[in-house]
Amino acid sequence: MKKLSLLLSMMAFMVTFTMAQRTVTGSIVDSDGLTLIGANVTVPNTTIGTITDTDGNFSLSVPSDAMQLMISYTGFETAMINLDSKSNYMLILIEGQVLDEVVVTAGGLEKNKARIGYAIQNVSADELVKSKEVNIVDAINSKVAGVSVISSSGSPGASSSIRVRGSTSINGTNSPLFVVDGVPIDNSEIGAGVGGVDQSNRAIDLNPNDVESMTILKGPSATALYGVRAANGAVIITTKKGQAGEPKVTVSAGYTFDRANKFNERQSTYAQGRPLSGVPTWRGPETGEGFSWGPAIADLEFDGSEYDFDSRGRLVAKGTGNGTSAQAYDPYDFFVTGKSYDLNASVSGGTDALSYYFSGGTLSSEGIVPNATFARNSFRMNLNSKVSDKLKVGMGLNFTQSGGVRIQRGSNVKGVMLGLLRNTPTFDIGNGLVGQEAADLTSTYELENGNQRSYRSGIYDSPYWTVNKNPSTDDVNRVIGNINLNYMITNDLSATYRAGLDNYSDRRNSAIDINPGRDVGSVGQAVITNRDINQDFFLTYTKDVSSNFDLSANAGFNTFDHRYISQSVTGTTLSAPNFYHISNATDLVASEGFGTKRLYGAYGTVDLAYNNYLFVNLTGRNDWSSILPADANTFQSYSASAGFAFTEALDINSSILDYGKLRASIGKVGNDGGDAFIYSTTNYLNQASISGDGFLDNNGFPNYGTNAFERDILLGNPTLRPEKTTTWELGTVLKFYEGRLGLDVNYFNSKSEDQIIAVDLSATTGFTNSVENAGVITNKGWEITLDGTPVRNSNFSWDVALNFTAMESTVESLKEGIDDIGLNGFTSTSVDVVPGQPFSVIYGNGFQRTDGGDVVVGADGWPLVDPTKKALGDPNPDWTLGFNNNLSFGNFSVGMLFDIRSGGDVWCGTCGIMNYFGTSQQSADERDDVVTFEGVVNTGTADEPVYVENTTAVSLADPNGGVGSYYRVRYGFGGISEMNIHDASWVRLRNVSVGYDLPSTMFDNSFVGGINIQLSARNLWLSTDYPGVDPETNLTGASNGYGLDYFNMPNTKSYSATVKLSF
Amino acid sequence: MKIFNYIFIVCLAIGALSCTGTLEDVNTDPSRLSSVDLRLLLPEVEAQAANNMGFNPARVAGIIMQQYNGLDAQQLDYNKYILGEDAMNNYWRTGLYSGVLKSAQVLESQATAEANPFYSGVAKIYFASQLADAASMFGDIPNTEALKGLEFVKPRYDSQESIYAAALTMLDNAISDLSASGDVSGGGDIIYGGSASSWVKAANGLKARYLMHTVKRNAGNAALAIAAADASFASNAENASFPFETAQTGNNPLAAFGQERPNTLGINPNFVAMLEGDPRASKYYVEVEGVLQYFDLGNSNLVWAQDDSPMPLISYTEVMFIKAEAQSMTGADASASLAAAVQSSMDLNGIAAEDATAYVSGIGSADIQTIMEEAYKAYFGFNFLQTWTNYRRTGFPALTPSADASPSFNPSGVVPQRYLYVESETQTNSDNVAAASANQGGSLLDNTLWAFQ
Repeated sequence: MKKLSLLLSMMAFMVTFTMAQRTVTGSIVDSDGLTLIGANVTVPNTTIGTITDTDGNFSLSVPSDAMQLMISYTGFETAMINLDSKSNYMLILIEGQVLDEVVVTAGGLEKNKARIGYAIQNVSADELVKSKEVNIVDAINSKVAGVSVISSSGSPGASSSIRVRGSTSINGTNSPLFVVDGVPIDNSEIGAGVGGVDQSNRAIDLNPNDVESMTILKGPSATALYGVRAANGAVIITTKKGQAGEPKVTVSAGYTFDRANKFNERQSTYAQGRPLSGVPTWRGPETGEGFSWGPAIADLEFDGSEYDFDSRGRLVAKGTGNGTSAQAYDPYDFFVTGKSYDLNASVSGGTDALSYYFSGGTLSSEGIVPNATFARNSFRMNLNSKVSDKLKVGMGLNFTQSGGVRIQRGSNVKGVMLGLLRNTPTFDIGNGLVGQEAADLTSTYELENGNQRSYRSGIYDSPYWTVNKNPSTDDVNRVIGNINLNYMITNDLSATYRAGLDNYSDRRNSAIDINPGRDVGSVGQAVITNRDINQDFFLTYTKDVSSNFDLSANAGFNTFDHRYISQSVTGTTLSAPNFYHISNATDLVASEGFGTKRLYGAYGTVDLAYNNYLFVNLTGRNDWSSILPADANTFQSYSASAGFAFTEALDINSSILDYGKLRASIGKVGNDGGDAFIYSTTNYLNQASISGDGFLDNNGFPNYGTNAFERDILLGNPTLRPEKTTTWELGTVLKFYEGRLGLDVNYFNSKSEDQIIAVDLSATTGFTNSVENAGVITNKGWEITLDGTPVRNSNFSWDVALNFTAMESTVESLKEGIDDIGLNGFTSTSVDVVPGQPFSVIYGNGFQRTDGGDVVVGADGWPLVDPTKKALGDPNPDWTLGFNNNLSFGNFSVGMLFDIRSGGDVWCGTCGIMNYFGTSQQSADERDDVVTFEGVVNTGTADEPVYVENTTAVSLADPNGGVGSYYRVRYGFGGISEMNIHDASWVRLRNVSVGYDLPSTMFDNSFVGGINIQLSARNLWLSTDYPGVDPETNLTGASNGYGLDYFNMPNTKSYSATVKLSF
Repeated sequence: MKIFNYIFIVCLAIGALSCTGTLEDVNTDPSRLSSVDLRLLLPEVEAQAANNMGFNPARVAGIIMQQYNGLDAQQLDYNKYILGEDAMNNYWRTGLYSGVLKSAQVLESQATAEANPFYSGVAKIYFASQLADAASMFGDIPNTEALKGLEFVKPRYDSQESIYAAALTMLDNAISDLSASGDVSGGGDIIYGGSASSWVKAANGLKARYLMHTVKRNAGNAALAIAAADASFASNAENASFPFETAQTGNNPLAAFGQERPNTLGINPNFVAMLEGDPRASKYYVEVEGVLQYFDLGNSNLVWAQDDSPMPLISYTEVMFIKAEAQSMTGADASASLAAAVQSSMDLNGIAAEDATAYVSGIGSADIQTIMEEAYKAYFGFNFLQTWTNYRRTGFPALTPSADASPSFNPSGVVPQRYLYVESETQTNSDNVAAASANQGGSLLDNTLWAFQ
């Protein structure tokens, strides 16, 4: 056990050496006289410290005025050495109450990791902060096996989705539960869709600098204690607390630059226009021409005429104008360098009776799109008081204000990327300027007559118009607070009460300005309030029954109350331009929506430990949920897990294998289906709304001078049952070579049944969906972590950690006869679940194929489209690997995190549209190609086909056939889905950082305790064959549908510098 | 349940906010109702139906019939007859079945339960007309097993023939309900303000329409159609016109499309050629920057592209064209009916009397071709589906199929004869879709439907 704790403790530890006036040496042993390797030796309240070597010895340079050394070692009580004139010390550490690596598990219970029979993984606070991610979800990326994170875009404040062991829910959330200091907090994303703006997932309101530790609980064994809301795993966050002693002050300041890291390739050879009578012809913005299938730019020149859209005039054939050659412009000049700064300060300390931690953080980002911003200001106060020997009281309070200016994106004629990538090479959107400068000048995007200046004369908004005229802001004010009381009833029994509040309001304003001749303008105002109250009361009993048998047990109950209210007013037909207030609208529509939910839970847990090598953990929980029908609203969750440290039990003392543990667990978690199914047990009459076009907005009543109601098209279900997920897992932990190498292998297999799904019904039943228990979804996979220390000596160490995940989510069945349920996307291409296929497939039109898989080509040489849609791509990677390196030498430390993803498709809708309009490089490259499509031609009949190889060559872009005959146009807008599905494998350097601790000698006789400087870069390098933006992207934010790219905002690479001072 | 007692005690003790009301109360939506009066159900039925008549099926029919012209994006695909299973999916789901048909059925059954013949009559009119129009687009569609919730999760498709028969029966029932009903005031009737007798006339006009849809199969329908037409409207003032409004949420869908999808749908040059010398031409389209547009924001000249352009469920104009066609088929003189039909169209478009008279006097003989060509011009802007049905029945006006016709959905390249069944049906009711396709000779755009064979 000692060796294990040693090895685990090394993982997050950074070695630093400092020059000092005196060198202190020593050795650390345990009560049996065995050396302790890797014990922390530090000078209190400084960053000076080291760890003991393989012989248990240490050597440390300390300031001459240092009075004490602090020796800590997981599993042992921390001890102090009082420094005197001696230079060599020996210390015996006493095994402590807290054994081995401590992890915080379900219910906020601290447990010894070695005793746990299921898979969990920690992310160190240092790793979180070092990543320089704004969103704490992104800070986890590539660091935990079995956890996938996808950031939706590089927009400031954009959401990221997190999945633990894949997805199980079709309509509900698949996000794990975020728990801060024992209190669940909301991580929803409101308003994600194919259009609109990038929204935030609400975990972004947490300041990573406040985090002391983070533990990811992966399976139902770990989460049975949180009940339904943790059915997708849990992220358990503990914030920093004060320690008795002098006040500790830290201040850090960081500055970050961002650039877009990858774009679609654009052509710069051909002009706006299309073939007319067989001749590619320039057609200017005033014609509304969308295509860039015009003549070669090299063959054109300006004519010098008076022209609204270009000061040099219209384009004419070379030799017929004024001799000024036409040119291609690069619309990517629109992007600017994003800039962020962050400032964080904290002070902590206390006495034995009262400890405190106060912090404040501010972060302000300007995006790579002009005018895009995000800011977060947060304050935290943690107080812990030992009122008496028996009573401890604690409270935490966190206030966050966040929000910014969001930019229209995605499938949206106002979207920045849509306007930019469809823009023809011969139109200068910046009108001679670029970036912020262009954005700040009205004449860039507005003509003198007030009409919009864009390549299609306002049909698609100029990106510069959008960032000025279509603003969207959000302003979140959030309070997360908790109180907890702990009373020791006897030495063995304690009672804990804990209450938490998570309350936020999100005020959103958005406007679409008047676009003369195109849009009458609109303004939307919304206030969303979300309030969650969570309470726990539990008793904890711990007893060393005998010298080799420990027992601890826990029993309690929980209440959770959720209230969501969304109030909005939308006003249309604006009166004055550039005025984005509701008073400027002529017609108003107001609405209000609710979501209320309550849960009760009763739970218990028993932990047994025998001789420190056999551990058994049993949990059980009963929930009552308001979501389920009143007569069937209760359900159970339970789990059993065991860990067996065979090296300890069998007393194996191999020189290679230090420690080995086998673990197994099985658990069943019930679920109520989640917030998506609030109010789903009955049928309602809704305020009526007109829908059914797909191209037009739905319009709600009151309308036409009256109000109206209609029956909801979702069929409620009064006989709903709880869902259940059963998981078993097997794993092993092995430690080799005195802990220099560690391996953790885990296999999990889960099966979710009776899933509550809003099943698609044939609309001819009068309902488009009915809420039902249907479907079986399985998730299985391997989670492997390997950590090692290839090199470690007194002045250099190199630690590596690998996280490997390979998993398979399969939709085994849906409801009988239901072949497909859409998760997200478009009518043409969507992300769906289909029985027998992976959880989520890219679904759409493909080419006709024979039974043998050959593409069927028509007699004219063009491949034929299959009218019936099918599953075409799998957005799930085959495997992912995070490879983290930490090197430290002297006062330097270097971290490098590589992220490899193999497999997984992304639909590049952007590519299809750019090919269609002729703005992509591909559309230029293949413009003159003559191709014989691989495939077969049916020379028989439809019923009795006779296939022969296709030999008919076709010209991909023959001007004589007209633009409609072009390969990239003939299959319709953006081509068919199959033409745009691409493998999104990647290798990237997700993070690299260099830290430096200034020598402590510099601060002698000053109040400064230490200064650390860190330089880091995010996404510095990316290698992928994906043709669009960075394939780590998602059109629909943190939703259940992923794998869609349709004019998504680009991702970013960033460079940052941070200085941290401690006092 | 003992645990609840504990919870309750603790909650009381700490004065928690969370423990009021039962779990069942918590799960009751405060923003919705469980029952409403008939007068609050009818407005949505009328509005949804009126919108449906300007939604995608109507616009695509306009493109197929070469009045509209796709300029960009999906509309351009429609020019090429790229009309896959996704094209009418939204309409089928929330416009039609889980839209107006669902609401009409809810209204009808509540009205029957409350013995209120006005609402049951109006509900039947909407149900019958929206169902029969859908049959004209798709052929066989569900009816007898439709709209029964989980009782029939996969409704069977009824033959197009039986749909028309059911619609006509239902219209007869509507007429008898409404004949037994007095007027209803303040009852949510946006079109007629509760006038039962007006609805009887509308029902007769619709009867005439669907009798003529099936006249190729039953020549006797022509005489019945004349009788129905005679029981219908006598002037434009009686039109069952739905009044769209200038507030953006209540706009005519064709105007809304012009605004929300700018420059994607325009006017076909063939139609412009046909309107040569027609006084309505300037009311139908305008040329902007060399592009023929049906919509031009702020241009009040375009009668059918205004935010508040009306949408008649059935119009006097159509009733007169139907009568003219039926008269022509039965050998009667159709010229008076045709002249009345065209004159009413001129009036709807606000054409000056002398221009209208000049045009009407120059129409020529009232043969089927002339009647159909005049109907083609007169129906523009509000009645695209009937234009397409007329064409599929009679072949007039003669059209040259699109040169770019995509072979994937339409191997023979003809002017499309139907819409494909929608993808949500092939995903949720595939066996019945397959059976219906088999019953109609396939699932492509060039299968001629039963009524038009």
